[in-house]
Amino acid sequence: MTRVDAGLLLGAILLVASLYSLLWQPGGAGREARVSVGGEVVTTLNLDRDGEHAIAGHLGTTRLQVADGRIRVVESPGARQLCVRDGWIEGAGESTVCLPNRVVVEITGRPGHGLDGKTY
Amino acid sequence: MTARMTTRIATSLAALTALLAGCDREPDFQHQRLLVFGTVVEVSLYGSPKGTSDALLEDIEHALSRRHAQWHAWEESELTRFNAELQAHGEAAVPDALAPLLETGLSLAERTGYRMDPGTGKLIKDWGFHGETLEPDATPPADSTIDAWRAAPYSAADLGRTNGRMETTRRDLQLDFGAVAKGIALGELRTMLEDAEIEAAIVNAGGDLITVGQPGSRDWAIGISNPGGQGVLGTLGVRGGDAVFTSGTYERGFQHDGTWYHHVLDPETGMPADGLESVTVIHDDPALADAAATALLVAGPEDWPQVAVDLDLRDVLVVAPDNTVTATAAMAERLSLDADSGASLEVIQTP
Repeated sequence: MTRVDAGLLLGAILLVASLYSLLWQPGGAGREARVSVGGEVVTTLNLDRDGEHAIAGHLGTTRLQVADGRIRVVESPGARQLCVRDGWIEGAGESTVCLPNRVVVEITGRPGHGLDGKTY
Repeated sequence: MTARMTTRIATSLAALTALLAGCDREPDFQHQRLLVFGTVVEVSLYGSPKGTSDALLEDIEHALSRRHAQWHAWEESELTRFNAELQAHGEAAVPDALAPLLETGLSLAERTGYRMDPGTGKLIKDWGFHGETLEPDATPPADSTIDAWRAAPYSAADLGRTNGRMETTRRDLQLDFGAVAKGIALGELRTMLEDAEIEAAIVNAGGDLITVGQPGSRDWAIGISNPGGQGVLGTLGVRGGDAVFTSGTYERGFQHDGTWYHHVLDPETGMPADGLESVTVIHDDPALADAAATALLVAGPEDWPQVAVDLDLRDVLVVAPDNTVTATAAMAERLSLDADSGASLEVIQTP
């Protein structure tokens, strides 16, 4: 084996390693929450950084809280308060929607083996 | 480097990639959120359908928007035109667009003993529940309005059917299929998904779901929203082909003088149904599950088990205001209660 061969082999191994991290995305906890208003992504929040965030929606302000790797809607205009009632969300693919204010909060990543849906 | 070695490396790479891809236990996944049918509709597709996923998602959105526009109870629609014609002539021909709604909706109303009654459009309007949003200072109707309803309630039972026409002697009857339209539309949607030969799919239309197939070898896991607070009461294991519908008093309503007035009205009393917070029904017929969830909520804590038997339901779960959960034996088997929910479970045996 020449030095070139060794280099190629090393390159191949690195390629496989990078492919692994690229293609292999296990379900489970996602680490970012994507927030959109009326279908447009307005911000992406790191769930490891605790804090409160105000999102301007169609009717008013939706207030979000990030803590302990989770996120919830604390306050949002709307008669039914469904997104506030949803409480904390933390699993990849989980989401909550404040429909009157057109605000969608969604944890990125493919859903793990958490819930496939919620009935209410 | 020899050509043979290059080939060997390439083969190993291909094998490794295939191996990694094979690790994924569930088929391809696509998720889309649609704002149709006056609610948020979440569609999750597993595997590839006949045609493309994008085309299927477009068909789904189109089908739901169409039904929403045709079946709307207070905005200009085939249904409001039908109501107007009944009022003008005391009879009307059933247009094709309304045939499935009237056919299924009216027969289910009869099966529920008119606890779910599409003839209550006027009552729903009097309560202010026609309209996308509720005024913050909403008030219940005057006592005289409720008394007048109780003295002579309108009912879909007053409709006569002959040869594609309907007639009524009570011309002010206003049909509103809000308690069953979503179930009928989702039933049509499930047929569409089956025809597309999708491996598995779940459609969640504002908290009411249909499923096709199963994701891999496991059941669908469906959380039941906690009526008394945040998060979920517990999780239900749902098999492919099952529909899950919940009717709850917290979904829509208004607060007045310290009392919560919600949108599920008892046709007999003219008032919001009393005694239960929510009812969840699982059945393979989405329309029946939808109608039954409303009918059992109206039936209340004493009568719901008998109505469930009358409707041949096996899987029912009800939540009382004190957070007591009562489930039929079959439903209890699917349920794992969330330890943090503070709910207690009682299982009842139904024949």
